[in-house]
Amino acid sequence: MKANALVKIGLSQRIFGVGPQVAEKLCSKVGIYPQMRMSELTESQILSINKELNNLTIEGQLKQKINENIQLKRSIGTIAGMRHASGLPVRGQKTQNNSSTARKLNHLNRHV
Amino acid sequence: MLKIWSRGISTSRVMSAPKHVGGKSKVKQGFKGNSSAKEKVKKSGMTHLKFKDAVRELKFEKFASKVELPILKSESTNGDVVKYSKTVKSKLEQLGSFKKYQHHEAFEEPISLVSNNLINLKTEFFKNFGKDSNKFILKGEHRVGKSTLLTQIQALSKTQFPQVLYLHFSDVGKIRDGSNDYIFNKRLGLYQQPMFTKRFINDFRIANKEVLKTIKLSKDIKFTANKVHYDYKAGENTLYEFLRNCKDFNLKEATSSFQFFIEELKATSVPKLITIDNFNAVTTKPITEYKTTDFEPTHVTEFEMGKFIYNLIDNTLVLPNSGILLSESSDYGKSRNLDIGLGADYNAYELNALDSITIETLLKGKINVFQVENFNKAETSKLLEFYNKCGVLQLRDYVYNQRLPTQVEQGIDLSQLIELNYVKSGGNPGLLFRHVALNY
Repeated sequence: MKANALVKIGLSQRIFGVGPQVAEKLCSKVGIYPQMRMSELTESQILSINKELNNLTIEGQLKQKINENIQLKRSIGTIAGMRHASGLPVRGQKTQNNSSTARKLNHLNRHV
Repeated sequence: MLKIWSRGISTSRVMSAPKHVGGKSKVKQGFKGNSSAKEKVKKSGMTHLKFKDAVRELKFEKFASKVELPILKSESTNGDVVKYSKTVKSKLEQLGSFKKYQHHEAFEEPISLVSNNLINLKTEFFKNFGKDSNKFILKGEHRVGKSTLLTQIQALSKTQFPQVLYLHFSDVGKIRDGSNDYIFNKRLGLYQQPMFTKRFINDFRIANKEVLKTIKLSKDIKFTANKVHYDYKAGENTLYEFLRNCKDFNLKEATSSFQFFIEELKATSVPKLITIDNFNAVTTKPITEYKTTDFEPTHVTEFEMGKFIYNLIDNTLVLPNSGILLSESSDYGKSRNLDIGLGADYNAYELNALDSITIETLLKGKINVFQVENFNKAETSKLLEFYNKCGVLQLRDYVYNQRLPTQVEQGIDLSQLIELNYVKSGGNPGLLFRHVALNY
C-alpha cells in the first residue's frame, strides 16, 4: 500500500472484499479520522484494523465462497450455473454484441 | 532481357560489429565501482510547487518595490493605503489572518485600504464592545475583502484596547472536514480534536504572549508533562505558564484542559476579540465528515470546538468584555441555514434541507449583519494610484482600446485607466487586482 494514501482508500484498493464503504466503516469503528494517511498509522491502530479484518470474509475466503456458490448453481442445474459454465452473461444481458466481460470472467472457477 | 538482381551486401558494418560471444555473457564478480554510480542530476526549477503556491513559498515580496506607508490607526481616514505595525503584523501572521492567494507577494508588506466599510464597521463594532449583543457577521460578494476587513478590525482593536486577547479561528471548516483526529470524551459527552486544539492553543499563546503573562490563574491546577509534575496556584501562576507547559491539549486521551482554559477566559475581564473566518463552512454543512463507532453521522456541536463556537454565538457561554466578529466565505457554497438564522423567511418545502440546531443557535445569538460593499470610485482611484507607485499597475503592450495609453514613458493618464478598471471590476478589490496585475 502507498504510504501517502488515505487509509480508507488504501484498504479498499488493496484488499479483496473491502470496498470504500466497508473501509470507511472499519475506520470509524477503529477511530481513524477520515483524512488519515497510511504512514500516520500507529502500531496499535494497525493491530486493531487487523483484528477487525479477521472478522470479515475477505481475500481467499471470499474468493472460495464465490467459487462455491457458482459451483452450487451449476450442480443444481440452474440457468445461472449453466450460463457460468458456458461463459455467457448470467443476468439477462444480450449476447449478440458486447458480452466480452462475461466471456472473460464468467467461469465455473472464477477466482482460482 | 535477363536482369540479374544482386543484393548489395555491405560487409563493412558486419566487420565493425563487436565479437559475439556464445551463451550468456560473463558477469564480472565483485562490488560495483564508484565510477558506475550515476551522479545525481540537479533538476531545474526552484520548487516543486505550482506557481500560485510558489510565489508565497519563495517569498516574492522580497523583490517588491519599497514604498513608505503609514500604519493603520483608528485615526486613519478614508482612502488611505496603510500597512500593519510590526508587532500587530507578527501576531496576525501567527494567527493565520493573512491568507494565501491574497497576493501579498506584490508588496513588501501586507497592505490594505481604509474604506468606508472599515470606518462604518469600526464605529459600530467598538461602540458596543463588551456587550452580549456585540456580534457582527460580514457578508458580501466573492473577493470583496471580508477577510481583509476582519484583519483590519483585529489590528485596530490593538490600538483601541492595548490589552486585547485575540481568539481567532482562521478556518472553522477544519473542525468538520475530517482532517483532524478525534477522541470521545465520556465525561463531557463530546468529541475532542487534539491536533486542532493544540494548534489553536499554540497560535493563541504565541500571539497573545504579553497579555497572557499578566493574567493570573483563578483556580488551582495540577498536571504532569514530560515527566515533570506542575502544581499551579491561583493568583500566583499565569495563564501563559499553564498554556506553555500543559501538553494535555495534544493528549491522545480524553482531557479537560480546554474546559479549564475556557473557565480561565470567563474569569478574566481583559478585552477579548473573537474572530471566526469562513464561518459559513460550519453552517453550510453542520454534519461533519466524522462518524461514530456505529457509523452514524456527527453534528458539529458534538465536538468540543464546535460546541465552544456555538455556545459563544447563542450566549450560553459569555466571555466578559468581548466582541464577536464572524465572516462568511464564498468558497463554501450557499446554504439557507445562515440566511434563515439571520432572519430571512423560509418555506415549508425546504425544511428537510435545513439544520434546526444551527438556525436556532443563530436566531438566539441575534447577530447583526454587516454588508461589505465594493469600493467606490474615489477609493478605487486611490488604490490604483498606489499600485502605480509600487509598480504593480501593468499596461498592455498592444492597443487594446484607442483610449488606453500604450507607453509608460509617455506618462500614464491614470484617470482613463481608473475609469476603465472601475467599470471592469465594479469596485471589487479582488477583481481589480486581477485586471490590473494578473490579466493585463
